[in-house]
Amino acid sequence: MTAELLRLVFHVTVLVVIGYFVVANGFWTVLFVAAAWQMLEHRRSSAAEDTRWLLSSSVLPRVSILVPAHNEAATMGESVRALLTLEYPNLEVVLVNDGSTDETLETLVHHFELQPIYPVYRHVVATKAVRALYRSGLHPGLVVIDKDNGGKADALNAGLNLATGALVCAIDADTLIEPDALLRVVQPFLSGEDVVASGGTIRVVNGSRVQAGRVVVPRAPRKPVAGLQAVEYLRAFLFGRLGWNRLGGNLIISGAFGLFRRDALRAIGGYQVDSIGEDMELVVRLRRAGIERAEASRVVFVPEPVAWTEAPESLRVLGRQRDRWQRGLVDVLWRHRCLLFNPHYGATGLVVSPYFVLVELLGPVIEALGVLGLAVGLSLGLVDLQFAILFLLVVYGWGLLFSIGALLLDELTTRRYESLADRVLLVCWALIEPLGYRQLTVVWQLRGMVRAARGRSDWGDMSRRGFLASRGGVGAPRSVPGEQGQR
Amino acid sequence: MATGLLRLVGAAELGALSAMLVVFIAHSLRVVLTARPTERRFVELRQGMVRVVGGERGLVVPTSRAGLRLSHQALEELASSVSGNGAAWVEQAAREMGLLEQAARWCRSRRWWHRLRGVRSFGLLGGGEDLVPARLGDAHPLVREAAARWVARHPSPVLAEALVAMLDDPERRCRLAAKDVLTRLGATAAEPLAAYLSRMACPGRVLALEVASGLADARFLGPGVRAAGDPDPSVRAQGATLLAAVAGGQAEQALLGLLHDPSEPVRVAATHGLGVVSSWALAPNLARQLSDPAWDVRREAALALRRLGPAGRLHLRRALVGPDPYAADMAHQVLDLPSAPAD
Repeated sequence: MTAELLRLVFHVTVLVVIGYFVVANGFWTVLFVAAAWQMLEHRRSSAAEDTRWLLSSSVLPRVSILVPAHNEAATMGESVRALLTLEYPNLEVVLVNDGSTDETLETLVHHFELQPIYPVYRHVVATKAVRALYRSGLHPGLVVIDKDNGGKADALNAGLNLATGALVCAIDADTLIEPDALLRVVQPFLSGEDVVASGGTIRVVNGSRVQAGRVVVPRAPRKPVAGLQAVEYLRAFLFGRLGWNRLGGNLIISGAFGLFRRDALRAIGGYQVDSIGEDMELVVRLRRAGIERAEASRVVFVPEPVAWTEAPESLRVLGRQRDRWQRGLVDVLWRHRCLLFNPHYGATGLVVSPYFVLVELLGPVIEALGVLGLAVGLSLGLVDLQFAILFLLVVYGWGLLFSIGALLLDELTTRRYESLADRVLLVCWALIEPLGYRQLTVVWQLRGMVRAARGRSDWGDMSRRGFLASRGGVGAPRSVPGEQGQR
Repeated sequence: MATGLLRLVGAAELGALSAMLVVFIAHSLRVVLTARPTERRFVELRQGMVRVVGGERGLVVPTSRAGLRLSHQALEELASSVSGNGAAWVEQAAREMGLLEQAARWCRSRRWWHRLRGVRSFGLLGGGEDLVPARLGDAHPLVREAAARWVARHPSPVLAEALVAMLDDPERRCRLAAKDVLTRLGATAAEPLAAYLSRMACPGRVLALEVASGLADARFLGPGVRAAGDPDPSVRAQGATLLAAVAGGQAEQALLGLLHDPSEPVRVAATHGLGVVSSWALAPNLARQLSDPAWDVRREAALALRRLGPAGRLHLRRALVGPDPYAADMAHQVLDLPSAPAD
């Protein structure tokens, strides 16, 4: 009787795992085809395009770049200078010093000749106390807010209150933006009144040569942990988010680089300071509010704009990041559970939201079940060894198809790496990614779900090497304290 | 059965994977192997072209297909940064290389992306007078937008009229392109724009008023006054901006009338407009706006009073001790401003 029951449970598990595998991979295949189609259309429409025309255009909306900074004294001057020289005619940089305990503010005052200002502006979104406001004597487009520490979301909200641009661009203090990225990411706003946010591709900067806040020689990461993430990023952006443009719209705009309608952000009360996945939460809330109020709600991904970000190089830090991302996902999907299978929200309710719950949230659980079931089945003789090996090979192959497909899409369109060695290295990272790294990610995600269930909402210590290393400098490790929540 | 299916899927995966890897490696190799020589030839061509535009000596244009493609790229790059004689040389060179003929073929294509490429080539290299104007009515919005941009380099009253009509285009990008080019055309656009604004109901009125505000021509006074009485608040608000740009006694009266508009954005625009006019005689009207229920109106009124100088500051100081706490608060904020960078 017990053996019968065990056999039944096992068979049901196998069916669930195989069903999940077919549905998830089938959906990703559709996403991949949609992304390839979208990329083709993008290439056709941008052929021989003269973006310099826009530099003298009267129709470009003013953009305010919001830069939250906490203890960034070492790199701040260079980062801000790079932002001020972006190719965009109507630009404002709002830097928020979020209660730094180092010399971030002093560095800025020294580099940019900051002078106190007293503008009349409305505090639409509540934030921690603002101590002072400054404007640069050298660059009138640079405004600095000095405020009490309240975390990244609170700093962005303070910037949102002061921003004068019709569009606001939220970035991380250490994001490196390519010079023409803003000109490209603004395009969806020029073509559609229903667009509320747009985002672009983020790439991993580890291994590249950085000079004066710009990536001058893009290189594929040499270290395995960063290299595997480089493939992951390409896959996530170039076919994940691009494909969603055609299949119901995106739910995520990366916190490292995203452009939003300022009024829409203010109307929904800005960023949620108590959310651990504040960037995704914001986009979901924007889409929800837009649909509910019959206003702009489309979120568009543009493949060309490139911002570079530093990926963790140690498994310990990466594990914490993935754990946090999964807790963020749980938090956002729970807050907005009313979207699930709700026809009132159209494709967002019927396609996008179910995908995030079934594939992104429950995926790790089912994958773990599959591995466990396989081990149990093999040890009890319930699974044919040949079948198991074949199944694993098919799973590995299908996953690999997506990774190589993303690399190919990148190679044919938006490639950045110049040498053959870099490209071959990326293929190597793609080949080994499903062997161990993917399983580790599942473990971290499961840990995140358990911690989410227990109500943990800290960020964890996120040590990074910093860009100094890639300039051939000393490369002292830089630590961003978790409780400040800047990353 | 299941094993057979898995074998089949596995074989298909292997085939697709191999094909992708072959394409990836082949493309990478081609790009890497040709990158340096191509870049060298491109730089040589570009330098040669710059020298010729500078009047130095004749340019030897390659005749191979790859060479022509490079010349095309170099010429397009050069074209965006030259004008006058340089632009005329670029057009002549493009004609001799057969690039304009190719652009004409693209313009007549049934495929939208070819037509787009053709119109953009004409826009950069010059020429296309017989083909591009027809593309202002193309079925694809990107082609219409590119054709509108082409007009900026080929201004004429007829084309300006076509652009004004494009302000009613169903696609936002086309409307914005039309607005942008009309602003660049300047005086050429004034007459057709005034005629357009004199019509009763046209969907692109707000954009047309925005262009008119930028041109600030006296011919727009009538349309501005009419817009101030429009039932649509967004038209009235833009009308206020136009009236401020045109200025004059009639414009001031119309702006004063809009100070009591039920719509907040209209009151903001009218108050801001009176601030732009900067007449000290308007100070009492602006001072009354300090008690407006809308924060943005109070802010505009306070800043406008501040810009008026002593007459305005007097009203702000009176508001400080007046009975309305909201007006007092706004006056307080504005009077605290240091003189230079605050606005």
